[in-house]
Amino acid sequence: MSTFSSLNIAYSGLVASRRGLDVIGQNIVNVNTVGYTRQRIETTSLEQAITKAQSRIPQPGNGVQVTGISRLGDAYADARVRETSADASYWLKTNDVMASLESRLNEPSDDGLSKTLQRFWTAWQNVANQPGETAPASVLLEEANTLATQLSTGYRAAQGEWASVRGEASSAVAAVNESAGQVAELNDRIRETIAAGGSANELVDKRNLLIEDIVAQTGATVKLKDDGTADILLGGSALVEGGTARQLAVTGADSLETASDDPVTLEWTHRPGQPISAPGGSLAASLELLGPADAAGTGGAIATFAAEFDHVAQTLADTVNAVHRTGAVADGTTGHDFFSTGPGPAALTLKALPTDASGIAAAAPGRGSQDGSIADEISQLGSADGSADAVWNAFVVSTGVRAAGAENKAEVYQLAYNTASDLRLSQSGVDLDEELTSMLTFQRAYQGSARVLTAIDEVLDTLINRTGVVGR
Amino acid sequence: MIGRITSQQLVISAQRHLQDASSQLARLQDQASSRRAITKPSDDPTATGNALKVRAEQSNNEQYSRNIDDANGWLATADSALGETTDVLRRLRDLTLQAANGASSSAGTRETLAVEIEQLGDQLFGIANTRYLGRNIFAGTSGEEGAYRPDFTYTGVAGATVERRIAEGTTVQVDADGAAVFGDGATSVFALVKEVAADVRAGVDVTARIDEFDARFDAASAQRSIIGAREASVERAQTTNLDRGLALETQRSGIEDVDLAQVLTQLAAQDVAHQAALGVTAQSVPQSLLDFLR
Repeated sequence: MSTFSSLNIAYSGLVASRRGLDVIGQNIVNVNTVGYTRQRIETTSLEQAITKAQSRIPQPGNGVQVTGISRLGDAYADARVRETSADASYWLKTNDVMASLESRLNEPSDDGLSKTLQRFWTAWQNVANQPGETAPASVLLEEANTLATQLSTGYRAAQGEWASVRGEASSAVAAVNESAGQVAELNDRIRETIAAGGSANELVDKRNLLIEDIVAQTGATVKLKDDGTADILLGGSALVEGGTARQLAVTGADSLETASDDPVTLEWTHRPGQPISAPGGSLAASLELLGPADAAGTGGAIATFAAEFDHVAQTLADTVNAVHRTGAVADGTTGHDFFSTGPGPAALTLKALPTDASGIAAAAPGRGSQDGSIADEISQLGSADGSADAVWNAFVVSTGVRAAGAENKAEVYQLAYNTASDLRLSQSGVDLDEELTSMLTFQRAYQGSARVLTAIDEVLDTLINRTGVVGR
Repeated sequence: MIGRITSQQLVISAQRHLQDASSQLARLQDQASSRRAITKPSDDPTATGNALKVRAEQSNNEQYSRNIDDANGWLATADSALGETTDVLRRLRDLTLQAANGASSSAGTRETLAVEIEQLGDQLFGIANTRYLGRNIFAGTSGEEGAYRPDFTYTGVAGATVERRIAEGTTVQVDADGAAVFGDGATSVFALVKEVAADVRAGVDVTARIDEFDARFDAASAQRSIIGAREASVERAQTTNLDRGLALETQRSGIEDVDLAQVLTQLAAQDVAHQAALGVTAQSVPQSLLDFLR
């Protein structure tokens, strides 16, 4: 053991303490950085140097060595956050759109369609009471116009909602592509850094943040590899594999009208024409919401919403026309329609045909021109089974049920996500008190090492400067 | 329980709790100020369905109330017109009887009687053409100026009645059957009056005609009692309508409106909870070891 090896021991302590303080500093300054995982310095004691001629005197170790800076992440906690985030964002998206659609119903209120329908039927009663009079006829025609406007407004709202969800889906895919590219790039850098023996902690944090974003959008699964890289799998194919990323694209209709003929689908850009399904996440929610309506009312929520408005308009036109045709207008002729629909969706094209009292068939033929029995019959259509009112009420209730379901699920899955991210934060987040305590420890360790250095210096001083001065 | 609590975790959960408290507070404030428990269908889909049904019934009920008012107007007009009709018919019968008894009286007396009979005939014709809001009381579905043309032809359509819907599934006829009361054309009461006047003037015995007036009088009385019965049923419908209106409003309010006392109590409690959340956040988040290190 050399004379100065003691100095080296103290020096290694100084270096380790300094490095420890650096890591503490990094932790403290990143206390609020999103996605940052706390780090810890790893040290090990150095064994004694082995010399050829083993001394009989036991030797102490040779100081301390920094072996690495470990990232205190938890792969299990990360996986849980990813899993729950896919579900949470799926339901969050669904809930957003359902809430927006539901708000368009304006029910129950005095401005909703049900109230307008009621006023329309009431107007028919007034026409029945005063057939041929101008005032009640104008009120009736006005109410019919209001109905048509409200129906078309509702339908257009669905069209607007569809277009905006479609736009969001496109930009979400663009964002996923961008993130996937960055993940691939980070994978390369992480592999290189680790191979060179460096610390890739910050790069891993950054990559995990991007991966979480991709998973929240698409519900993709992640496979961590031994070389530090992460693969992202979507529907069995790799979105990111090591340093290469593939691209996704949203194709299909860009308006509600063509949605059923040309469904909106997700596909790989290198395999056009082969739709893949996003397993979860907000993109899957968007694609489902954009889906075409079906007869059972379980299809895409937005198309169903539009279809129901259409259904109400068509039912209204059919039921009113059926009775109206049996009545006689002012000139005594029968067979006139009250509403016209088409071409195109009934909700958009519904129109009252009569322009004044003379075109309204309030009277039954042969019962005198002042008869109002047909108008009275029409006024009772609203209470009949299968009436436009019944269709509308059922639609309002089913939309309410769907929206309430989405809201509940969004809350439940958000709660699961919160729990998962709490758990992760609890394990990998920075705690200031803890860091400050460690800081004190390293500070004291540094002071201790410095004191050892001073002591050895003094010992050497005694040996070099004060030895052999007897009698001087 | 999570073992380790970190700074970010504290902040995030504090934010989350504040957000929860605020949204609860906002929801209660919204309910308290709008006084509505259901603001959107998803608040309670079943109750929304019921609310829509009750609202529809309310709207119908309001319309029934308007129809009842209208029916009352028609029936009151018909009732008074029929009252006048019976008065005039009674007077006509009296005059006819007088003429029959004094068939041999002077031409001057007979002329006076004939003129009075003719005047009463005109009056009766006027009553028969009584209108309510531009509609013929005695020929409801007729679009013509009166129930009878000057040639005594009835303008109404047999069997075509004017109905008013006064309750769910219930209609009441509000016009009177003119043909039953006054007859039509040559067999009408007006033709009868004209013939009687001519007979009186000519000194012909009109004794046989008295029965005809009696028959008309009976017809008018019968029609009047029918109208009376309808008025009574409309009146009953009006009472029912008012009660139903109140009941429906109570029902609607029960479904849609909040219990204000309950909401205000909850609001006060939530306000305290929100302030507590704010206070706790202000106290706990800034705390760290730094405060105690020199």
